[in-house]
Amino acid sequence: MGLSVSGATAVILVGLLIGVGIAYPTLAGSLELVTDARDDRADQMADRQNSDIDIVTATYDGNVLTVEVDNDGTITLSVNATDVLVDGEYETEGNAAIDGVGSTDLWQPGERLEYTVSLDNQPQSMKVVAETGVADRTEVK
Amino acid sequence: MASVSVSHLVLFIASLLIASMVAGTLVTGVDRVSSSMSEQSLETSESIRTDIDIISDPGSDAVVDGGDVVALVKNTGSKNLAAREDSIDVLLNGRYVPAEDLVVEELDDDGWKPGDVIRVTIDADANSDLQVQDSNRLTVIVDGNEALMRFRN
Repeated sequence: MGLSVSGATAVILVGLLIGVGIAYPTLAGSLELVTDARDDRADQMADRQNSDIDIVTATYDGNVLTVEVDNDGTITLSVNATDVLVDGEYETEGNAAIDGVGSTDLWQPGERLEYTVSLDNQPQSMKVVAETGVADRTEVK
Repeated sequence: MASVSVSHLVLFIASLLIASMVAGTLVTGVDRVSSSMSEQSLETSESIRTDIDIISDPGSDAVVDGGDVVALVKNTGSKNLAAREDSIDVLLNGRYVPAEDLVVEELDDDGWKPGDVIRVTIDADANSDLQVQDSNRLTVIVDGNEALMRFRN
């Protein structure tokens, strides 16, 4: 009887060890996936909290709409990921420049984005949305 | 004496067999649970990385365009999303908008990457269940992530 009990215990112990061996890497991997995603999310939330844009002027001269937007936040934003809506319509034709430089994608804190687009009619309102989703809206003068 | 040894041997083999069955069931169960957890954690992490915002300007006339409702939806998360009618759920005033009454357009050509915007057009005229009222609520759901816009007609 003694040998049977210890033999059976040993077999179950081996089974337990194999089970732990299967479960541990999966559990550790799963936990890491979720933790990484949570960290990314927290970083994004921090970026969103730290971003702020402010439309300084939006003027239409009869042909061209010119908008000046300041990055009043503390993080660098992407120019390509910034969206402009004119009268609620998504605008894709315009040109953007940061402090006069049109080739950069980086819109650093304190810098001014100048966006120009040719329009046939006087627009009423416009909205600028930064890459983090933070937005500002103004009436066009 | 011989019969005692034989019975001990039979008991020993039986105990080993039962123990092996228990251990086998245990290992199979653990394997199933861990593969489910692996899949679930992948889905959870994708869902956590997904974030969308409706960036339309409700103050403009562009949201209600004739019988259509137009929403611009920005990917503010950290993963690429599928911009297809069947991967996006839309509710207008709490009513589900079927995929055939939706048109999804990518405004940037190379997929719906983080920072990119899509245009979702709801053909509210085509479906008698969907009515644009004075005050409206539009909900867009992608991978369990919701964005809400309220607008007046």
